[in-house]
Order: sequence, then C-alpha cells, then structure tokens
Amino acid sequence: MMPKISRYAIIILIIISSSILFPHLYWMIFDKPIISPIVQYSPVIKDFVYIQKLAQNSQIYSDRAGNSYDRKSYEALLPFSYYYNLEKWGILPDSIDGIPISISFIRGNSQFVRLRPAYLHTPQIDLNPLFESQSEFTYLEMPDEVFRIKDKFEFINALSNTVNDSLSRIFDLALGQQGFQFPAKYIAGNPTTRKSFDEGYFIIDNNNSVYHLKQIKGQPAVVKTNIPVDLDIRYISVQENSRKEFYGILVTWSNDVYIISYDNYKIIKLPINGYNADEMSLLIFIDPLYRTIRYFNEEYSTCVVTDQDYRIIDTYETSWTPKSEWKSSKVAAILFPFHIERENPNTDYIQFDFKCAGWSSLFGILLALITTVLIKRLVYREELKNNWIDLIIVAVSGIYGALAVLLIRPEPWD
Amino acid sequence: MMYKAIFYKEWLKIRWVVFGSIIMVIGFLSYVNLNVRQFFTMNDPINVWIFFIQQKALYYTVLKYIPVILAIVLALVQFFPEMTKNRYRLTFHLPFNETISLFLMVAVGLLVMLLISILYIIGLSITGTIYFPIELTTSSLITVTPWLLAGFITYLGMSSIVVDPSWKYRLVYMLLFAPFIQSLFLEKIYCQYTRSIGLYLLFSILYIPIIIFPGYRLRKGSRL
Repeated sequence: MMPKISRYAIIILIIISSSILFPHLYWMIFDKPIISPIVQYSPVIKDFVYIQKLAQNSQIYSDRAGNSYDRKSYEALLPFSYYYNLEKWGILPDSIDGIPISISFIRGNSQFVRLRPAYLHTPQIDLNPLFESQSEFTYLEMPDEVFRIKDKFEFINALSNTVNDSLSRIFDLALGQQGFQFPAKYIAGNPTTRKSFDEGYFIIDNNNSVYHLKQIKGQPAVVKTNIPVDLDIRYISVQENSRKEFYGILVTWSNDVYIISYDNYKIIKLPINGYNADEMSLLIFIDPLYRTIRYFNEEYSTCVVTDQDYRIIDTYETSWTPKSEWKSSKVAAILFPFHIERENPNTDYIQFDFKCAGWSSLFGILLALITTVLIKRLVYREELKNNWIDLIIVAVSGIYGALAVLLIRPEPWD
Repeated sequence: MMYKAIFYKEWLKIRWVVFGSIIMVIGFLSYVNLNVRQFFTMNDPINVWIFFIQQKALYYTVLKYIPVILAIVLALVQFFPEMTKNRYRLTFHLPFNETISLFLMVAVGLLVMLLISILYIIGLSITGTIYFPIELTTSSLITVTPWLLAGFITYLGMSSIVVDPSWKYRLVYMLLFAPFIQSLFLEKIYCQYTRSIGLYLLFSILYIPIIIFPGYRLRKGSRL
C-alpha cells in the first residue's frame, strides 16, 4: 500500500512541477508584447488622438475621426505634452483657448499621477520617517527616527534602536487629543527626501477616520479630516506636487477614486466607470486646461477627459484582441488543462494559483488519455485495471498526468 | 532496540556533515551579522533602516541557498553509501519493516534539517534584534520561510533520487522536482510569500512519502 501511495505522491508532484514548467517554456517561445494604443486628448482639435504601434519600429498617428498624421503634425496637436519639441521647431502656440502659453506656464500647471495594481498588492513594513515639513533649509532631511502606530505612537531611534520616549509622548498626546483611536489601520505617505516638499502622512485610525499628520518646527501638526468614515478606503497615494491642488488620490474598496483637495480635505470623485484597481492601471494627466484620465487592463482602455472641475467632456474607449483570443493561447488551452501561476505583474506577492484553461482542454485530455492507454497496452503491456487510478489522473490533468504515469511506471505490487 | 540501532547507523554516516553544516550555518550567519554591522558603520543608521524598509532589500540573501545546498549534501552522504555495494539491501534481511526503516532514516535527516533551520532562525533573530526594529526581524523570519521549506523538500527529493536504482528515474525526479522547489526562490523583496506559503506548505507534504517508492523499486531490483 505505502509504495503505491508513494508513487502517486511522486506523480502529483511531477504534475505540479510540469504545470509550472511546460506552460512557462511554451510562453517563452510564443509570447508577444500586447500592443495597445496610447490615447491622448488634443486641446487643439478638441478630440482624442492616438498612437497605434503596428510592429517593431512602425506606428500610426491618428485621431478619432480617422485622419492620420505624421509624427511632427501629431505632436503639434499636443502642445501640453510635446512643448519642448514644438518650442524647438518654433511652433509652440502663444495661446490656446485665449490662455497665454509658455513652457514655464505649462510645466507649472501640469501634473501626472500613476496608480498600478501592484501598488495595492505589495508587502510593506509600516515604519516611516516623519520629516520636518517647515525646515529652515531648502532640502528635506532624513530624521533620526521612524515611527510606528500600534497601541500608541512610537518613534524608534535608528542610532540606538530604542524608542524615543519623550518625543513619542508628545506625538502620542497630540494624536490622542484629536480623538485618534489606536492602532492605525493604514499609513500613507512618501518616506523619501527626494520630493520638493513634505505633506506628512495620511493615517486611518481604528474608527476609519482619516488623520493628517505632519511635523512642523519639531511639533506635531494633527488634523482630523472630514473624509467620511464609511468611504471604505483601500489605498491613498500622497502626491506632494507643487500645483497644490490636491494632497493625493484615494481608492476605495468599491473601486471609486477620489482626489483629496487642499480645500479643507474636500474629496472629489473622479468620473470613471468600470475601473478595477486590482487589474487596471490608472493614469491622470493634468494640463493647464484639461484632466485626462486613462485606465486600462490588457484588453481595453478607457480615456475620459474632464474640465478643471472634473466634469466629463468626452470619453473614448478602445479595445484590442485580448491575449486569450490569440492562436497561441487557444493551442495552449488545448495542450495544458491548467497551469500554476506564480508571478503576476498586478501583484508583488508570489502566488500559487491554479488557472484552468476551460472546456477546450477536454480535447487535449482525451488525446492524452488515448495515448496513455495505447502506450500502456501496446508498448508497456500493462494490465490497465491494476492501476486504474493512473487513468483517472490523466483524465484530470491531461498531458501532465500522461507524462507522469508513463514515466513513473507502476511496479508489480506485492 | 532496532530504532536505536538505525539512528546510530545514520549518525555514524552523517556526523561529519552535521558538524560541518552547523559550522557553515554559524559562519554564514556571522557573515550576515558583520555585513549589517558594516552597513551601520559606513552609513547613517536611519538610511540603512529606510533602505531595508522602503527599498525592501534583503540583508540576508547570502543565506538563500544554504538550506538547499546542505540538504543535497546531507542526502548524498546519508544515502550514497547505502547504494554502493548494495549495502542497503542488507536492511531487507532485518526483522524490520522496510517502509518504517526508510522513514526512520529520512526522519534522521529531517531532524538535522530542523536543527539547521533552528540555528538559522536564531541567528537571524539575533542580528535583527541588535540592529533593527522588531518589524524587520519578523519580516526576515517570514521571508526565509520558503527557503527553509525548500531545504526540507530538497532533502526528501534528493534522498529519493539517490535511492532509486535507475538513472532514468533519477533524471525524471531531478528535472521534475526542481520547478516546484525553484518556486520557493522567487523572492526579491521581503514577505512576498505571505499570501501563498500555506499552499506551498500543503503541497510540500507530498514530498514526505516519496522515498518509499524508490526504496520498493530497489528491493524488487526494478530495472524499468
């Protein structure tokens, strides 16, 4: 009995390893980059324009109406993106919609925000440095401590690796006075000195209230924001952009995206439908006139252009042949009834996900089953009913199981 | 009595490897400690912290393959002598179940791997506690879990490879045990396995009985 069980353990292990290895090798050979169009909104013609890559080194420039452009005239449609080139060619317009345009004006009124699914799926140790946000010196400096917010607020000094009690107490008290409920559920901020100024951290307490914590002249500055406690916040990205329109953007568990404005933390919902933070990237381009919001996965992309108050002006949706429709994917689905996915660009976590290929794999399983029976009978001359479990294994796992039971042959059991 | 005898026989075979492994693990752990110590002397401590917290770099990657390497050596030293001159076949003449004796032999090796893992965890905890906040120490222990698990299952896989009488089977085992074990080394930053380590552990259980089949083939003199 034990040797039989042992053989099946080996066979299952071989199936698992094969379902990692063989699809991996297959896609090393057949994978191609997904070519999606880059959609932008032209303030010149007031319509969407896009770059569609065709193959290596060849692309078409077009607008929604179907007019095609050469590269130079395409870039001339997008002065807010290609202003350096337009300036070099001497064709940067003096004004658009009556607003005078210069490079410094464009730069001062532009902002770019990016959000990737992996930002929401990444391991993180919640120890952050609290910068002095109103220093006498120009550049931000790394403090000597990092802070943690568990059952109380603590600064840990890096030199001594101990809690700095006196400083901790000041901040602990300041948070407590604002009604902060320990521990913190979530801490968002940019723990780097490579930013032009510091807005500190947005912290969600145990009651789902959002607090804004900064250090000003060595003292805590705590604001209990009026961001609703029932928003079910999933992620906050603090931006620290010199435009100072919004502190950052927040994403809720129901895939709504808001900006947190400098106007007393008023939140403004972005007009995006069908956004899914787990699998879509979100890009927000802000130029002097418009906000262009683009969100996309590997199959389709939506581009929304709004005015400065985030009211929709126009929407453009594009889709392309999804990978699952590729010929190579269809062959893979027949060949491999399932595969184990370990890495995925949408998450930093390593997975062990069984991905089933769908009904078309039944064809491959049938083929594997027939091959197994034929080889077992005609080549190995085995009695099938002695090891009927082998056939069940093949019926479930197709090519992997066939390989396993044919390589690891049953012995004449005691 | 028989148990004691088997344990003693195994001990005779592997004692030098056990001593060597302990010295090697302690050596590498000391290296990690000195290395981290040097980071702190050469840099501002807070920047070292921020680097390991925010860049998510691992200060102990040098330890990554130690359990797997020791597991391979241990399995070779423990089972290779049994395979030369058909020594292992003598076991079949003992009044003792062959399955149990194989499990006992493997258990001895697993105990050695456990000892190595405990040393590994103690060493990492010491370095972590000296230089870093508790969060980093905890994350280091979570991060090395798949590496330690890989040590255990590599030992089990390698033992089966050595015990099997046919080179064809050995080759199949080698090729097709590897991808699962390699899956435990995909880590680039800390704690990347927190969501899947349970599944990896679950499927690792399958490695426990695999030595029995090659042992059975050996007894039967199978040449398939």
